[in-house]
Amino acid sequence: MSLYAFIGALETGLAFALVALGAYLTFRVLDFPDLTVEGSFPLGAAVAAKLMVSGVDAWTATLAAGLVGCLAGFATAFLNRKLRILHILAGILTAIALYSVNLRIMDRPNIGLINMATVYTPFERLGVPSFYAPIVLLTVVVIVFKILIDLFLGTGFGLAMRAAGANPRMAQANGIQVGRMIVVGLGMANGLTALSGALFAQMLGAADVSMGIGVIVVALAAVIGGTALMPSRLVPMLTLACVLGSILYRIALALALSSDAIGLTASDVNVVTAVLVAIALWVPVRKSTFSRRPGGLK
Amino acid sequence: MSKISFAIAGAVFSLALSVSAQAADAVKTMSIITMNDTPQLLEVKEGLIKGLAAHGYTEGKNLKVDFKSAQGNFGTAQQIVRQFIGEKPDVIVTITTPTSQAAVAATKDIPIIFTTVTDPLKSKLVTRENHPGGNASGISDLVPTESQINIVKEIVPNLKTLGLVYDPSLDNARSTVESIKAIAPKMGFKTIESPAMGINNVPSAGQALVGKVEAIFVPNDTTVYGAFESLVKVAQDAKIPIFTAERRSVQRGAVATVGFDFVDMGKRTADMVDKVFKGTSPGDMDVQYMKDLPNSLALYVNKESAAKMGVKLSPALLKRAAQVF
Repeated sequence: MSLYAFIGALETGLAFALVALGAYLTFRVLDFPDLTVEGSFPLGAAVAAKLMVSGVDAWTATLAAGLVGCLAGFATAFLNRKLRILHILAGILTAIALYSVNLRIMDRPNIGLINMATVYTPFERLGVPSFYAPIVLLTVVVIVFKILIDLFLGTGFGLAMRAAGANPRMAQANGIQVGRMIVVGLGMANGLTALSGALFAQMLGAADVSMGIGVIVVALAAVIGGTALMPSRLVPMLTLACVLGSILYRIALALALSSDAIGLTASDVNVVTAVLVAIALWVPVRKSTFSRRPGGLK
Repeated sequence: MSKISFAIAGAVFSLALSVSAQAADAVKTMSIITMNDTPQLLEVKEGLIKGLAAHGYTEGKNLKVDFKSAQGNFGTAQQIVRQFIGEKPDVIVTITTPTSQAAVAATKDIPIIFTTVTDPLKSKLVTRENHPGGNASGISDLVPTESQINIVKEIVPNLKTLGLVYDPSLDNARSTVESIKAIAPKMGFKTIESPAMGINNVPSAGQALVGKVEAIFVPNDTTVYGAFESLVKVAQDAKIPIFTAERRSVQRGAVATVGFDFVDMGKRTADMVDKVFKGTSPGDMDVQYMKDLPNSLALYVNKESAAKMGVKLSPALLKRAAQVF
């Protein structure tokens, strides 16, 4: 793997780490498998791109994208809580509706952002080679949001949200409004996802209506893979695991992409990735069965 | 004195010769990225390799090809582009708009030739089409709407109203319809739109046009093509000729179309890649439109279907056709 391939893995991993943090909130904390992200990721890209080509500066556009993303989460929460639609189906419904919404926002399937002032532009003048610029900014953004989530989950409201996910009936009996927790949790998660979409689009040089394809797989691989490799009960460790999981997924993919030498071709990338992720999931399981076995290795 | 200068000149000359010989023998490297593995895009890649072979570059001998597909995933596309940049190939060929944007955004040094991009200007791949500057140029696959309508007028000379059957939720179908409506007044006919939302509504969209139009045109529309035979049936019963925007539907019963072949498009891409290998910067090459290149368009007709829909194909037209079904 070349330095460039590694940098590519790192920056893409960091951009998708925000989706992974969102998936941690929904999938792990709230126990709500949220498929809205396949629509809210391109939604963030679409909003940011449309605002940027309309003359709004990149920072405002990115922030607005994150806020609009929260609305997508609210929509899924509404479908699930008010209309009593199954959580997975509610997310799918919002995601397919967002496909049309995104086309409306952009007026066409693709908006190019090449040679525009993006959020990365100021970091290109730091004196380091310009291809490091996304990494500098994304590292800061990801760390900030990771810490904010850690702090949030430690507040009274955050603890209530964790209780609502862990045992909704018990939580309800203790006066926690489970519905409100789901609304807030999904709003936060999809806001993070849309923010990630906006940041990724500016790195890629375009927003495209099909950008959401595979986002849920990447997010779940990061959360499941990361927390399997770094098992812990502490929130700050688990969010860190999600961020690292996102980066490791990309490094695995970069390895899969440079596996030509062993007779694999371009079309094998997905299966190689699946095998690598499966190994990542299996290794910790294997370790724990060893340690539990009486008279085993330890 | 003169002996020495002669010897020096000779040495310089032979050195220059050996350098140029080395450059010609050296293996050229080309990295290709595609967004998807659809048949047309793979045909472009196939044509690219064939075209380079015609220019004297044989894969595995003096040409090293690295072909990767993002399999529809944008994150993967971004990573493939980064990997290519690290490998510093002589040229990066990008198939489809998003992969082209990812490559152009990521490198200002490595030459990029893009292909099957519909609108290079709107996609921001280039800032102008003549001598675009920078490190990227390529070929657009914009559909030759005007040539396609010319064929309709040639086969149906008394065309007054053209029916357009399409699915309005499909972006590319909608944009073709918009461009037909834009050229219609200039070419002396009116248009009636008959939207088909979903495959089940295709026959009724055709029936709605019976008695109102002299011909029906279908843009590149996956919905209508999904139930194309049902539309052909309606048109045969009402004796209205149907025209389409691509070859396969002519085989399935449309009267005719004018279009380009994607293997051929790959070969035209290879012509540009060859220039890059010979030292021309993409910035000095004009962006090309496949539909405007000489001999790029081919005529496809269906004789049997034409008879059933009540139109005659002239012998001159049949002679011009690249393929008669």
